[in-house]
Amino acid sequence: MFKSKANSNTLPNLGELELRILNLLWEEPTLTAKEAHGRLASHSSANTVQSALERLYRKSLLDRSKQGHAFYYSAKVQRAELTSSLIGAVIDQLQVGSLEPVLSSFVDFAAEMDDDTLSRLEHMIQERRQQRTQNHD
Amino acid sequence: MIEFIPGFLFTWFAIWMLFAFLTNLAYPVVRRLLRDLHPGTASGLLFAWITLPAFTALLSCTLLFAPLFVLMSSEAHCPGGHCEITASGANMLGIPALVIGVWLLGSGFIVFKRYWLPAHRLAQQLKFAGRDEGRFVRLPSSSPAAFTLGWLKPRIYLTDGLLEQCSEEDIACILNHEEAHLRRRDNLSQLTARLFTIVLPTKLLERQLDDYNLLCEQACDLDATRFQPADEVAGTLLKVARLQSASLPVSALGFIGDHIEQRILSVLKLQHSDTSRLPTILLFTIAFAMVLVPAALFQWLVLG
Repeated sequence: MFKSKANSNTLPNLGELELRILNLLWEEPTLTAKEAHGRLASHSSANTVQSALERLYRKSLLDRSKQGHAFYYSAKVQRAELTSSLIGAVIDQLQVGSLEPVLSSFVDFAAEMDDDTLSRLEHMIQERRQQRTQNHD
Repeated sequence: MIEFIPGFLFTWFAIWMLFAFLTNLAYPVVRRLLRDLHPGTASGLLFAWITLPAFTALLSCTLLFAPLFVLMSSEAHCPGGHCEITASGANMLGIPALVIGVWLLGSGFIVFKRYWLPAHRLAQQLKFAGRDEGRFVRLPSSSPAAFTLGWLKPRIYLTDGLLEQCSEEDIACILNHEEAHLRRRDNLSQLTARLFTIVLPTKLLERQLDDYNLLCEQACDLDATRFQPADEVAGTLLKVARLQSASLPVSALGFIGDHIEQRILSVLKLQHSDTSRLPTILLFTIAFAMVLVPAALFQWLVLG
């Protein structure tokens, strides 16, 4: 499981609150920090929500425009676009083995499987299957 | 009595390191004994072997310090609870004990930061990106992948690519295997094993951790054979390995999944020995010796 170091720096870096805010902004096109805080109904303070909005803006995931004293935030990326990019990043890391330390894969991604070994294993499985079928009959 | 804490900690760390080194030296012998056992039993014994140095060192250290604690708490020997003469030697170990303590805490923190946090963040993101299908979370990706993620509340994740390219029997086998990981809490136990190896450089203990990972996978493969024939489970393993191998980008070349052959051979093996008596007895004997030997040596060398 711990074959290589987890390369945590290349993981898409979005926290739970940030993801919830994005979800909210996909449902309602523009919101101020105060409105977002009110809609989230979470234990997070208004300042925490404001900081999360600021972080999302700096990550280029939100747009904002100033109207009066308040910033109005809107989503810059679509849900499908972000989902695809998140999953893509995860699969990339799964394939190079950098996520192996943090999860249990059904089968490790194997780049250099020897054809002879594969054929031998296939043959053994076939033999076992035939034995089972014969015993069953 | 508080004066003895640095000495106690220093001795515990030192004995823990020594035991970890010795158990690592003895591991090739243990490995041979584990090889013929059922992977479920073998993984439990290997987990005990990995965590043994820390626990036996603690017990051994307690045994060493017990007479001092008794003396220190005795009013006749130490009126008012102070005993500066006896404690002065132990106080000299304060700085080394502090350094080792900080190092161990730092190593523990690195394990937490490197493994716990990424998995936690990843689980949050996949929960958001995937679709909950009850037994598993479905991920919108054409790449075939199946895995279990999470330490305390692990979930199973399957990609669209895998679901589209596998038969119902294959998916049932994959889910049975992954559900065995959930029941056995393999992710958490592997992280715990990792934590118990922080006293020695990772490279030294990599073999034990890799073997523990393989045994956990084999135990889950065999668990899946309770619901499906062994050849079907082995066939699914091979099929998924082939699918994943075919989907790999050039950038992934070089990462070799070398467990697959051992896992298929283990699934196809007709009988696994469930008699764990000899390794278990051996493990208890070693643990007993590890607890008693330092105290006996101290008696013999220091007290005559």
